[in-house]
Amino acid sequence: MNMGTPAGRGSGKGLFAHSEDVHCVLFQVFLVAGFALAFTMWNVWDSVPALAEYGHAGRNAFAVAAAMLLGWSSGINVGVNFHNHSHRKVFNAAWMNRWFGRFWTVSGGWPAYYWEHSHVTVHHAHLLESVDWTLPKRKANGEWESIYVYALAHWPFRYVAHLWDDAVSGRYGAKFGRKMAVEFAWFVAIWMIPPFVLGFDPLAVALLWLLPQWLANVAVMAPGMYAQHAGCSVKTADEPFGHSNTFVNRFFNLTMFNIGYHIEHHDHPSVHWSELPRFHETMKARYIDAGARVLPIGYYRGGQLLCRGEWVSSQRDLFFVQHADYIRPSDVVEAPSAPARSAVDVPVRAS
Amino acid sequence: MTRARAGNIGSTANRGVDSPGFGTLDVPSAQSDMNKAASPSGLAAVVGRSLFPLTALVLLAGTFVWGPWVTLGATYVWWRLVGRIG
Repeated sequence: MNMGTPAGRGSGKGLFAHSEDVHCVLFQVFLVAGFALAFTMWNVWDSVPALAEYGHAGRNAFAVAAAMLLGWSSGINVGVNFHNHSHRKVFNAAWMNRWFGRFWTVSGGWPAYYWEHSHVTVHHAHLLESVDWTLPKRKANGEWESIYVYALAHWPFRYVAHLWDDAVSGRYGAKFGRKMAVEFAWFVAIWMIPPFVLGFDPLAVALLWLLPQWLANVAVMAPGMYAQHAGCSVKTADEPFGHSNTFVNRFFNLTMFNIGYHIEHHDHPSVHWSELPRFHETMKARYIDAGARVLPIGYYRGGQLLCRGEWVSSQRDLFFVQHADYIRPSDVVEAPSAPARSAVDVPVRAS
Repeated sequence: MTRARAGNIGSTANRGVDSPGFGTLDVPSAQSDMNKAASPSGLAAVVGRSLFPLTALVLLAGTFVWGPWVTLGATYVWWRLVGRIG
């Protein structure tokens, strides 16, 4: 692996811009295969004895399981996998980036161009500012809204409203609205393929196509987004790393394209996802000195704790327990047992 | 709101602002256990990176063998397990 070298960043030859990007494509291929398998099994259920013996109740149970598994993977595929592509394209050929991208995000309920705009142009460019409408709303007292409200209200409702506003406002240029319209047309054309394959069976479409998209956004991407910036504040000179939380759980980063290294990602979005662990090592001492929040968990555990924290405050406190290797020496002397340095919904981090 | 350049699928535009000079950072040759775990190679990398869609494929195809109710139960157990360890 070559970090920061011309070879590591892609030489312009070959299929992939970076050798590790093959995994991004494989993920998408396996996911599409999963959808194809689920659709096929639904369509042939009554004609295969091993399946037909379970009746339609069994078929519906299978469809619910498929929705959970495929929705989960679709959430990762958009929020992590396509996310990486939106910062650093995986192919060397522009047309492949454009067309693979258009197919990449559909099972997650997003036109690729819309997600890229929301993430890069809005979220990254205005992280935690009032105009960053990708994040949870703040209450009058400055606290973040409930993670449940955020998850249920943001996709598709708030996203549609904000994207429409951006499209018609002209603030992104005269051609932006037209580009949005063209990409929406491609999205609809691709999105209609599964209903066609399922024979427009309403139950099949609801369970095997709509439910996965809802789960991808509400149960996977929204809690992840919430956890990434819970308790954080706008970047300042005094708190240069207070804008995000970094998660160093091994299993999580192995299976989630290193998305846990989120402070690093926001400060250096062009660093390739595969290089983030090494980059993290170079920054570790600075993070400790600055009191950056580095957590030993991943988003899944973090999301659970934040959800339970809506009802039991001690669960929310557990989310903020700093990784033992990243506790600032001065914090150990002053408060050796204090796990959290700020509350989830307090906009300003207290040291 | 600050006017920002709109993204363009397939272009190199608007990938976010990065600090210049990262390519010259000196990365220590000794890697931590965390780094080793996060940078697998070969088959381990394929399975690790695509663990979730591969698990989906195995559980869905396994329905032919063990039936849909076991698939649904295993999916729930997998969901809860990852919530604890991930």
